[in-house]
Amino acid sequence: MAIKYLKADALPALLEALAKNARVVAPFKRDGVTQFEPWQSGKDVELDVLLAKQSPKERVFLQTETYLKFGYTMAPIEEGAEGEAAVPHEMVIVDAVNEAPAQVIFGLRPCDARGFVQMDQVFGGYGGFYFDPLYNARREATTLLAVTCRDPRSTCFCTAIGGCPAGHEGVDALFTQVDGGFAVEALTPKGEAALAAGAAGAVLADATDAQTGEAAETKMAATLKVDVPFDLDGIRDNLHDNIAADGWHDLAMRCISCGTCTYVCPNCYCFSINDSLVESTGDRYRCWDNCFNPLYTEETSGHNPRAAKSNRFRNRFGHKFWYYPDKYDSLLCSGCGRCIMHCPTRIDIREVLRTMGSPAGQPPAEPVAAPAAECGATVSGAAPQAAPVGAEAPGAPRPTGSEEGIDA
Amino acid sequence: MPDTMSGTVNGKTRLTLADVVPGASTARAGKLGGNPYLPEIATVVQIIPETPSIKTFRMRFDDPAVQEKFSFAPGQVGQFGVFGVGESTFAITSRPSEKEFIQFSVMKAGEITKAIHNLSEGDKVGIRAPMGCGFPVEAWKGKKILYVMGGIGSAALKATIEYTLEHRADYAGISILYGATAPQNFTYQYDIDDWQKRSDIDLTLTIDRECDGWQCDVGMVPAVLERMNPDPAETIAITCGPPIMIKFALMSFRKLGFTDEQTYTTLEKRMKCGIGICGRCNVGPKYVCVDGPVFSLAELGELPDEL
Amino acid sequence: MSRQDHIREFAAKALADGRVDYFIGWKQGYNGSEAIPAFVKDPAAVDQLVWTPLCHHNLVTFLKRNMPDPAGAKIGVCVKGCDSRTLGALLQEKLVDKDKLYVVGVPCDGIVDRRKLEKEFADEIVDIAFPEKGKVAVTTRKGDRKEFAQNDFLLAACTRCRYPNPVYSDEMAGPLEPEPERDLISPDWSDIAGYENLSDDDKQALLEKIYSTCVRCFACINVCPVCFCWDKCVNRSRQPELVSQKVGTKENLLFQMVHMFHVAGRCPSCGACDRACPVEIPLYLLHRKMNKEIYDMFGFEPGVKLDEKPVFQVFDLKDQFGD
Repeated sequence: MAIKYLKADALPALLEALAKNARVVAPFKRDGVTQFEPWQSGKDVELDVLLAKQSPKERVFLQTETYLKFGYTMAPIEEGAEGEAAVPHEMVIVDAVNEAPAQVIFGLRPCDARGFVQMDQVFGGYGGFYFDPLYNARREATTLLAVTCRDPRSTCFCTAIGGCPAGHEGVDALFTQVDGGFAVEALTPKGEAALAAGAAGAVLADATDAQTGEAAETKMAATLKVDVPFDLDGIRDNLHDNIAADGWHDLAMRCISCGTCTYVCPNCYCFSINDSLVESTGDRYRCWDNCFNPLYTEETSGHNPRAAKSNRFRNRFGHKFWYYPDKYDSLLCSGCGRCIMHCPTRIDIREVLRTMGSPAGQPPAEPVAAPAAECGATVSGAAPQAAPVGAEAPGAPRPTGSEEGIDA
Repeated sequence: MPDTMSGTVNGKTRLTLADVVPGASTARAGKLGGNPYLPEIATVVQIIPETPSIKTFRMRFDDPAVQEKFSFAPGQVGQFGVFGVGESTFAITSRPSEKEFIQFSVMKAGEITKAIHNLSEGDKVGIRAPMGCGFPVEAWKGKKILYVMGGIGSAALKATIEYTLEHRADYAGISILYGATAPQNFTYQYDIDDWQKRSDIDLTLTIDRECDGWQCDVGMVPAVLERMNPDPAETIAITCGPPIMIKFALMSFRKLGFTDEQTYTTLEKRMKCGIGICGRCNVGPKYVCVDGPVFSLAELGELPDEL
Repeated sequence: MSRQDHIREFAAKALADGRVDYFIGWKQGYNGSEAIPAFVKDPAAVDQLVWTPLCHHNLVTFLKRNMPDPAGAKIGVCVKGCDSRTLGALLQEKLVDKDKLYVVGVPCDGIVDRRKLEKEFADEIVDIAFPEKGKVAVTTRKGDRKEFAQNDFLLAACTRCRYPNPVYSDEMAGPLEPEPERDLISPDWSDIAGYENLSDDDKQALLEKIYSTCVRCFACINVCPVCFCWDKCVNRSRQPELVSQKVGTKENLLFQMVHMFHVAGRCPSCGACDRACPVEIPLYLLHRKMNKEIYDMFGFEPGVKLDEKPVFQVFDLKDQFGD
């Protein structure tokens, strides 16, 4: 699909048209805090703030999601029943709940969208595991309209792990701010459908060469602003080799073992399942949980494999850069930097990876070379180019020869 | 199990939902279909008190089609729970050839097992089974199998013991060493009676301390194991029991010359989804619920020390 | 000698003498606009320790149960006035072992409110400097630089600080700050007057609104030095479940109330919870209200005197309970 142009003051009309058939969610600033909230006519979308406090993952992967409702009751006895059939028996009625309203998330960043793709693999039955109908129903009903980052923060590192401020992964349509409006590219059939629906309310003209060129320059400039703090090459092997290193204790000393990093992350997905029951009706729900919770792995016997904070700390980074790539085909991080921004003691994932992701747990003396000036996406719609430094595939190169994924 | 270790799917290294789930809006059958969080409703048909803290529960699925189609591999587990309290993971302890019911043996320890122990015959429960990887009983054909278990560890090995006993001719030998703290604390006493009557297996029962009327061995399981001095040649060693017993039993196996490749155990972890998604039960890159719970010692050696 | 130099000197000596296994202070964060907790083991590495008006972290939280690593370590720690009161509260209840501590008190004339500064800029702040006393110089990622009067951008807690000098320490990092005349001047509770004047229904609505964005990350709970129960916390308990893990307005309200009531009598309103919250919930508000109630009823200011019994561990016939 050709690149379109949307005037800035036509954005509300576009969102209004989309809101006719879907819930539209976008970042809004309220009392100085920017969060993804349902769009309402008259509210201005906040695009000057790079990242909303939280990622939009909770729109697809709900923080609290009831998926079973049940009630205990007595089975009805047939008239004239005798003997065993006349004795009252308990029964339980169980209903599966799965609500997936159509929704459009506008204004997320490519790192947020990439987070969805990384979660898709977990919930999508990839690798012969189970398919999660709860997540997938919402995911299929959700269209992601991302906005290119113009001014990455010092805490961003998307390009270090194969992403890009104008990345395409997970994005249905990409909006890039240019003079007076947006250059708009549909990247998937869902994106095309959304733009077609939006065009009922707002005019989407063909972009001029100048607008197309400006968008390309914006993307390129943004990509160059992102620092590359570590080399992906060998990270997984080094994490494996450093598993028992003392360095984990040092890095975890200022960690307070809360769950902030996992909850603001666009792709952390660990959850718990609990039942609640009042008298004879109740429900079963899943809710976000985090591996820093001291009780996360505590067994009923009282034994806790990750009683030590440094083990829990190690587990999160291991999960994102070793365990997850072993099972699925990318890293579990999109380089948004929210964990760094919001951690109460500013634990820095880049520092952790530079240290424990390097041989012998020693950070490299030399700064890492900046990636070649290629953007992960091109404006003309040609195939995405190779990811920058250190990675041929989205994940670190696998060790060869072992079915289990880890060499002895 | 997963066929993705090559790193690509359909030649692509970066996936979208459509790659992962072909035809993503249509209903699917089989493993990629249905709702793996939705339990099957079953009725408790028999409760057998085994020891003061362990009961065995036999259930029939309410849906006869489910009951008929249900099958599992020895060593597989299931999520068994009470609606309103929660589910927990338990080894399936019925014989794999048993078609009339599914059986779990439960030790009372926390909130969920307490609620399970309060069940009566006729009560309704929820079951999601089978799950996990069982023991590689096919690959073990022709070998001697040595089961070493203590306490509730017998539940984890029960189905596999019964399977190999039913297929006795496939195996070069079967030895069972089962230890309990006291005579009344053995589970499956009714099955042990049958085992004792067989002449084609080696059965050693042991209790911790001398006791009037006890005619079998006395001593802790690892000590009795070393006294038995089993020959590691062409033998598979499997152990399960309280963590302290497993730890010393594994040390004894090593002392007796068993390699890590021929020694197996089952792991226990706090679990929630049981289907490899929620991210809780991992030891390093392995999920106990889908990659395990059965692991060889060689596999465990690759994992972080977080057992 | 600056306070920073004092801190470094005390730390180097304590580490070299083996008086502590590690020393906790503050150091620069991922850029010049943040200070973060620093853990120093090597006396030669004390130069990373800083003291600036960015040093807002209450380091006493790292003395809590299960935090010392290794367990039982001898720990050196820097405390500001507010921090020292949380340490005082823990010592009153014997929840930390005084003999394992080496406390360096740091008299403080105010910490800068980074969030308030952020609201002055659209661009990311990458450096906050203090070119001269009373001045704050902020630099953004694009290179814009702007100066402010420090007193206009202090933390709310600092604008009404009654204890600028640590109430408990083994050493003092430099001369004391002028003490406010506490006996003559009552605490200033004007910041919660607006809240107090609301009707009950309006208060309920306001609290529900404030806590509706809580994501139950436990940052506030874990960063609080006097929130001590850790893995035995009522809010965390699953067996039995006492506070639902569901995230919703009513559940969140209960969660926050449990925390607030359980730290009552130990909380000096240091504001660490407020600063830790990733979604900027004004947690400070209710803790201040709670502390006003305690002050009005019992004349008690938490954590000030080591030999004082905590207010909720005594019963005195002279206690007033209102009308």
